[in-house]
Amino acid sequence: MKVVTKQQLAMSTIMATAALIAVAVWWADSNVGKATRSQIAATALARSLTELRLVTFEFVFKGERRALEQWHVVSDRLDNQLAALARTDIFGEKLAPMLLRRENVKYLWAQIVKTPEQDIRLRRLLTSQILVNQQANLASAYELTATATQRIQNAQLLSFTIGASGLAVICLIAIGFSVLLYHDITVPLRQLQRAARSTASGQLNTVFSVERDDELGALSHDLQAMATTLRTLLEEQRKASQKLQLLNQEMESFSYSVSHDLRGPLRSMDGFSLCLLEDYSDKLDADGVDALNRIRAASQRMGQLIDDLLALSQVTRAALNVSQVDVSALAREIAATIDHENAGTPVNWQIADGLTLQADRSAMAIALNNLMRNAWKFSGKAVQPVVHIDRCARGGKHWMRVADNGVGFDMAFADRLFGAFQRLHNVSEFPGTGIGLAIVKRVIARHGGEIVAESRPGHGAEFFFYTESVKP
Amino acid sequence: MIMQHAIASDKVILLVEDQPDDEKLTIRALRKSNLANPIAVARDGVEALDFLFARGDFADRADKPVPTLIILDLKLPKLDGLAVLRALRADRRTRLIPVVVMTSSKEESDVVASYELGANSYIRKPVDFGEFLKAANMLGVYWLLLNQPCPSVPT
Repeated sequence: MKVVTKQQLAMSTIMATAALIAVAVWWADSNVGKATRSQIAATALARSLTELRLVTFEFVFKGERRALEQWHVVSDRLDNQLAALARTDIFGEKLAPMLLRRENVKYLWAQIVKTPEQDIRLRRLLTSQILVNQQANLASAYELTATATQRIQNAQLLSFTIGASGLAVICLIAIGFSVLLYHDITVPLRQLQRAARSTASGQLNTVFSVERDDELGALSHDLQAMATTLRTLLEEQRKASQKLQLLNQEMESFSYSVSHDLRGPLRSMDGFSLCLLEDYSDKLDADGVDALNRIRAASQRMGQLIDDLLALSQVTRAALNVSQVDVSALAREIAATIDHENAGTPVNWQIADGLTLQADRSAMAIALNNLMRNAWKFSGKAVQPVVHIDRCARGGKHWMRVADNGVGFDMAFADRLFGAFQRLHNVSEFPGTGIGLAIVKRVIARHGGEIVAESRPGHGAEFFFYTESVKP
Repeated sequence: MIMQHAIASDKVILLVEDQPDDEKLTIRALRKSNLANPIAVARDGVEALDFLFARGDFADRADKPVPTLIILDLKLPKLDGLAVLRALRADRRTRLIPVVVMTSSKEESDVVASYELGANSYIRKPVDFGEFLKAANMLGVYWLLLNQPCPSVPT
């Protein structure tokens, strides 16, 4: 049975019990009322009887006409009271002798009224007869009063008993429901909680074992399904990561052989060409020397290409150790190195203070180095080369900016800018293999950032980038 | 196979190199640097260790002094350069010989492993033979002329 059904059942039971108790209390209370009314009636009866006795005395001993009329008034009232009591059926058989005695009294009274005043003996006889009957009725009336009082007490006791037992029944139902609540909800809930905690701590093979036909059973089933899905997903992820690791290892060994084996033959080509140039220069004409020089240049270029490819793959493979990087200081270091290597081609480095970035320092150094060397290279032909390194806000983000006043490029080719070995300028004009910006893009991408470039031919180039959290 | 390129002297250089081209070029570079020391060549790791410990084909070297300098390639048949380095650093007779690792690889793991195993120097073979000549010249001058080797340990 569902918990919600049980709850509804318990609520309806309590409501029904309360209604029953209310009806019982109402009934008991109405009994009390009835008994009270009968007591009042019995008391009134006794009063009327007493009054009638007095009036009888008055008439018999004083013979007043007023007393005769009053007797009839009181007698009629008494009859009415008796009739009303008889209709209520409270006192039942107890009223029958009283009614009989009333008839006797009325008969005797009629006789007295007819008896002449002089016949004192008969009147006294009749009077005593009346008084005996009335006295007996008075006693009966008091008896009725006592009975009514007893009835009141009984009814009150019943009313109290009903109220108390009703409360007890409601208490019992409440206790029963809380026991039910404990067994049906608290116990399985704790069980589920333990299993959920165990799952949360990484025990994904935890069994959710609440086998029930209610919501908690369904919840247990759902949680079990969740744990199973989680386990499956983790297993898949583990397999994928294993595959990735394997791929990485392959990539690693591939890079290793590229690095080691592909360069060997190039060394031989370059080395033995030089041997020829050195040892056999007297047997070579200008074309022969030129050919050998071309072989050497090609070997070295290919060596450079291999190194660039390796650098690119290295940027992808190296683990990132993210910390706060002082970009201003890093840029100044790189600028100093570039100036040192190229004394005689002065560049005006405008590096803003306080530039910081959340990044891997060595990866960021590689990216910045490439960007700054590009800026240096392509502004080299300007009259007064200036390279700005600062930050700016665009589209709600803080971007680092590396800007030069060099030759720039046509935005139509901007999408090729960051591809490996893509070049937008002639090698003879600006040397390079075209790997630099590809490396920069990978570094930025690995930091969850973005890099864009803007330029116009002859108006310099601007590179904007951010990493996941650029601190303003 | 071991080739003696000069008359036996007490300052033998052991070149451990499997590529004949690289062997020839390295020897040429060393000679161009006016180093007349005898150069012994081992073509794989096992041969290198046999030479160093006077075993197998080199049993007759038992009474000869150990090389003054070892130029070691990492990628070798049979036993690789790192294993050779580990073995010779573990032996009392060879543990103090200067070892210059000269290889194509510039993988960080190779560099770190070489230094951890006790290499004295790590040089990456440049493609440009001119650069190679300069490097060979510098390492020859440094290790054979400038550097004061450890006095031979009494056996």
